[in-house]
Amino acid sequence: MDQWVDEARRGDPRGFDELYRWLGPQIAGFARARGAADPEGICNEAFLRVFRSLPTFSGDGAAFRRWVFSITRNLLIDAHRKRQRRPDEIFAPPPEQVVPGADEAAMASLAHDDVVALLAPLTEEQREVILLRLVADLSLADTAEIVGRPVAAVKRLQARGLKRLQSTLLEQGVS
Amino acid sequence: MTDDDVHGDDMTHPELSDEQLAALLEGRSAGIDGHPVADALGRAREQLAAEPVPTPGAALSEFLGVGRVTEPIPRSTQAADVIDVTDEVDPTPRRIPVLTSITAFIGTLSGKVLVGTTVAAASIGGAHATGVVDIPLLPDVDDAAVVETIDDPDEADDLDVSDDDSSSDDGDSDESGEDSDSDDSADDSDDSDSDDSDSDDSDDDSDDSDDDSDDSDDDSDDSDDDSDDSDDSDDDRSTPTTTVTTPTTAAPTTSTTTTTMPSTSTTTAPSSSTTKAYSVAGVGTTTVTVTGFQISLVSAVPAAGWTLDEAGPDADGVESRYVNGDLEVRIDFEIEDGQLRVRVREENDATDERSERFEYFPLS
Repeated sequence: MDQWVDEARRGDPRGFDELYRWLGPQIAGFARARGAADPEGICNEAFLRVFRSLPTFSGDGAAFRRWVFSITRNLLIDAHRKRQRRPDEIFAPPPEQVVPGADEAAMASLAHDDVVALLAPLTEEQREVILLRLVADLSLADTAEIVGRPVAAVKRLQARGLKRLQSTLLEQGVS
Repeated sequence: MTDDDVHGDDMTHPELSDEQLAALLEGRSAGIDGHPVADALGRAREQLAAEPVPTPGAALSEFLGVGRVTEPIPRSTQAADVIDVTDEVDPTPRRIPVLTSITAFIGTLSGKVLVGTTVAAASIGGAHATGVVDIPLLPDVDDAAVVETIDDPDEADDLDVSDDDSSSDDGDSDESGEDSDSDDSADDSDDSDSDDSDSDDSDDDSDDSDDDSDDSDDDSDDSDDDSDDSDDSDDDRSTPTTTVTTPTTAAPTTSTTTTTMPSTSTTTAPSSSTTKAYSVAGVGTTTVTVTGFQISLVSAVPAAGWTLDEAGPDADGVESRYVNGDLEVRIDFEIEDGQLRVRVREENDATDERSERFEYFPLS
């Protein structure tokens, strides 16, 4: 990862490519599970911003990953705001614009529907923390940095979320 | 039959400790395979990991190097191309080509003739209107109805058609999770106008970045919208408008009223600061100051038995969080429709009860 960051910082397309392949699915998955209407668009935008700003970035691969997730999170917040203000314009393409060959995205979407349903009983904050930890195996410290909260607060959110998840699952008798 | 018999599932799947749950979340088995939580988290992890490599848009492909990709990236959807937020924003505003066309047209002979005719007609009309000359075919000045649309500040407020956007932009995202820098202040103001009622997110500002070059691109779209809104507000409120219209009835009624500049506007941020303390009995008191559309934390003081978990700016205003064992109370402040909105959320993990309520306070 560190090598890819260095290569990309030097402008080597191979570095960009490797970074995108490494984190792109995680970012898109995070965006999808967070309810983004256009996860790929969010992912594209996040990487565009990151790659354009890469010359000013200093840090290793782990720092790079935190950075990408932070930007993605902010983009999701923006998208949510814009969707609230101009619900008719933003993001979700009309069904007729979905082209043939969208099977993979559809499958990913279906799979993520399960994740969304699983985490539905949680609060937004709990969901975000647990998703970040699930989707990219981020540490508590990394997650705290991304969401801009103290580690203790993130740990508490996680614990509350997991307890709620457990009680929901046990009540449902899922096995 | 005992209670234990009724809750057979609980017998089969005991509640896990916080440590066990955390271990599951981190992908460690913790010796509890087969537990519903372990299964559910495992499935979720697999499903999230199955996400394909997203299709890069045109602009991103330039970075990735067309033709250098060692294996084809599955093209799952065209959405990224349809929604061009992912692509580079054309640095040339859309209005410029239009202006260029108009300029080119004026440069032609036909254009010059048309412009000259228009100017002459306008001059004659103006002279007629002011009584300098009398053009028979034009209605007399006395016949014109002078309609003043604004003479009461309250009415002017009612006429307000602009939204919060006129005060600031959408608060486009900040660029970095690594560095906090001086861009914070600007982003704070951006965030302050948000009417996002469900922002769960805290501290966008802490994620601010050292790079805003892309933001400026994005903001260009927003600023277009915003400037349009500003235009609206100018037309409707700021500039006293007097409309002269040709009467459509034989005996036009003439009503002339004194133009009064509205003294206040719903989209103009109040210039003075307002301090508001909000208390939840037995929990704590959070005090904020509102200046314009900006909210800042003054203090957050927990009541006895409670601790302040965190307090400070969040994406849309100010939040404070008080905890007491399984109880958690959040007091959040946002500006909504020109009012200070306080949202109080209470959670009880022991009983799994949640509640939420809102209160609004006008800003003078």
